[in-house]
Amino acid sequence: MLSKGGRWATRTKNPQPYVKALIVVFLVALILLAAMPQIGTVILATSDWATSGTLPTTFTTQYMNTLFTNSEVRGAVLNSLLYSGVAVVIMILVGSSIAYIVDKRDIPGKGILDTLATIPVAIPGISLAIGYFLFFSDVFQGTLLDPLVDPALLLISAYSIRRLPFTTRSVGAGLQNVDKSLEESSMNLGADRSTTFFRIVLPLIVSHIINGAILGFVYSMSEVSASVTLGGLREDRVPITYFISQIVYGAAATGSVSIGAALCVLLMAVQITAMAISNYILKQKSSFLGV
Amino acid sequence: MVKVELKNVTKRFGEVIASDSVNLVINDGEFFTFLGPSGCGKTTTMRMIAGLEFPSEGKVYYDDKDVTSLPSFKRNTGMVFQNYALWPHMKVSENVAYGLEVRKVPKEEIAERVEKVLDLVGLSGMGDRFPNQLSGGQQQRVALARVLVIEPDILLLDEPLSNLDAKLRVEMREEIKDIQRKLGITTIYVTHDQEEAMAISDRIAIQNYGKIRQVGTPQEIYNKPDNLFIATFIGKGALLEGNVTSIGENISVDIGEGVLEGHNTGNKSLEEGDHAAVVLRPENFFLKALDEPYNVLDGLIEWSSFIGAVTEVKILIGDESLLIDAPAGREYVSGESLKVYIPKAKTVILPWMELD
Ligand SMILES: Nc1ncnc2c1ncn2[C@@H]1O[C@H](COP(=O)(O)OP(=O)(O)O)[C@@H](O)[C@H]1O
Ligand SMILES: [Mg+2]
Repeated sequence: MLSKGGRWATRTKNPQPYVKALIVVFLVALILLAAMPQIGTVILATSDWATSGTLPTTFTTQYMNTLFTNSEVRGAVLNSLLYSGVAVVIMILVGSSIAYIVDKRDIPGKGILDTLATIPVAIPGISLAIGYFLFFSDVFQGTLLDPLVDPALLLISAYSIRRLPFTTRSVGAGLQNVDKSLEESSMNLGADRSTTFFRIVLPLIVSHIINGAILGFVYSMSEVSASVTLGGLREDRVPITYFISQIVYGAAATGSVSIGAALCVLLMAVQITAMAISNYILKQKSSFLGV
Repeated sequence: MVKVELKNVTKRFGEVIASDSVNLVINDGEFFTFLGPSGCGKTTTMRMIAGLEFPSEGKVYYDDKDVTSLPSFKRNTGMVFQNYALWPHMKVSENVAYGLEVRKVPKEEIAERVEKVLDLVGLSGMGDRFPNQLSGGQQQRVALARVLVIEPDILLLDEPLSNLDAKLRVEMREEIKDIQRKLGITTIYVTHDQEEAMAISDRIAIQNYGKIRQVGTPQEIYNKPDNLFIATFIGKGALLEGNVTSIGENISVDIGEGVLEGHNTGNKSLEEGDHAAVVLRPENFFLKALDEPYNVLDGLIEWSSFIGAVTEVKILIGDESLLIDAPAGREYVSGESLKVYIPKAKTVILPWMELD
């Protein structure tokens, strides 16, 4: 149990009202400044300009609708959803296994495993992507692993590996809360290792797994380096971020900046929803464990 | 119900020897306690009996069947952990039903047995609560119910009362003893509290630095300690230091303020001139001459404290203070002298050993 503050006199002081007002004004300004690009993006995605002028003149849903109607745009969205979805499954399976082994099993080499699972954080996405390209287009030339044939598998693999440390850490944090005696008492009462895992350990860390999955999904959806490098190698395989980059560079066929903005709005919505869900789950969990 | 036997069991964790060459037989239906200071290897020894830890050397038998490397889930033992280890995501009834579910007992029978065992431990009607909605004592009962419900061959309890307050501790230990008597189940208990061990056990094994130092009934251990560590670890008592002056029917020890005669209950013999300890229990002091052979000491009253049946009096002999149980029906004035008589038959003399 954590203690919430000691017996000492509190060291916080209530500021004067005008100081408070100053703080609020300052913070709001700061947040507005930081949110400027997002605000701009939303405006861009939902309005039209008259021929000249600084401010938008009419509200429109036409660009947001493109996400569903324009087949190129819809394709990119669906591709990203698919890659990220598969990547999340891989991340969870691999990440959870690594976390479990590192935390609960005494096998030689688990320190190396832990390090290996963390290293991807330190590898720039662009080197990973170029490395993939050079290696797979040469060694696996002409196969499904050749990005020139189909970049999908490599994109999925890049997403999974780059975000693996996050799921591993998240699940690992959950496992650390599962005391060894909780598993031992299960085995003592007649349950083998796998029953113990599925009935005792898994339910206790499931919220951490979901959290790891959400994080992984959000990151994958907005992954840039590998997507931009490999994503364009086949037209029908492009992910969202590649599509956006093409618009930014003015190279996309459907070339309206507003459609790019609409895609960004979609990504922001995914992130905000994901964060809300993840917060909600963690809150549920702590109330139910009484921590 | 089974008999448990440990043959030469040793457990090492790297450099640490947690259990050291343990040889023991725990009889069918017996209430057997491992007693010893914290860190002496009690839990480790119990965990090897439960199959949660495996010996570095030696063998473990249940009823002459070698179970040394049998995993815990195949042993049908029930262990109550020191921290209870209740599963926080399961209700009380689910916690209790778990052992039956993994044994594939039919649903109706599970419900019936869960209810019965909750009743046995005094928790009927609490099945729908979650562990974090229970008091420490109630959690303790759930932990007990959870293992009793599977009708284990051996009940293992690792300091089950250490997290409860003093009054509840005494209550619960009587309840545990009652349940054990009712079910006749072989029970192995771990505690560092000697009073608890004496009160609850059929036999006690005293462990120190991984080794079993003495095994016996509470009476045997109290009255016939094998060595000075046991004598000081169990019960109250006073210790006087001296040298052996003669060995005959009794052993005489010169403690400076006089010579005391008694007998050696230890497992090492004494020679003339040896450094020895005289162990005197508070209840063996009398204020009048006795019909049997006795020792006499002249003391000076330091203080006294009336506690009901007897008055505890602290007396000074030379520069050693001893606590004695004196009759309650009189005054004990600090500073006055007091002559005390101790039966020679109750005077325990043991070879000296350094205690830490
Ligand atoms: N899993 C373990 N790894 C390393 N050392 C251990 C382990 N379990 C126990 N020990 C050590 O073994 C000794 C005995 O521990 P334990 O059996 O828990 O003692 P007790 O229950 O009597 O307090 C201690 O020194 C403890 O630190
Ligand atoms: Mg212990």
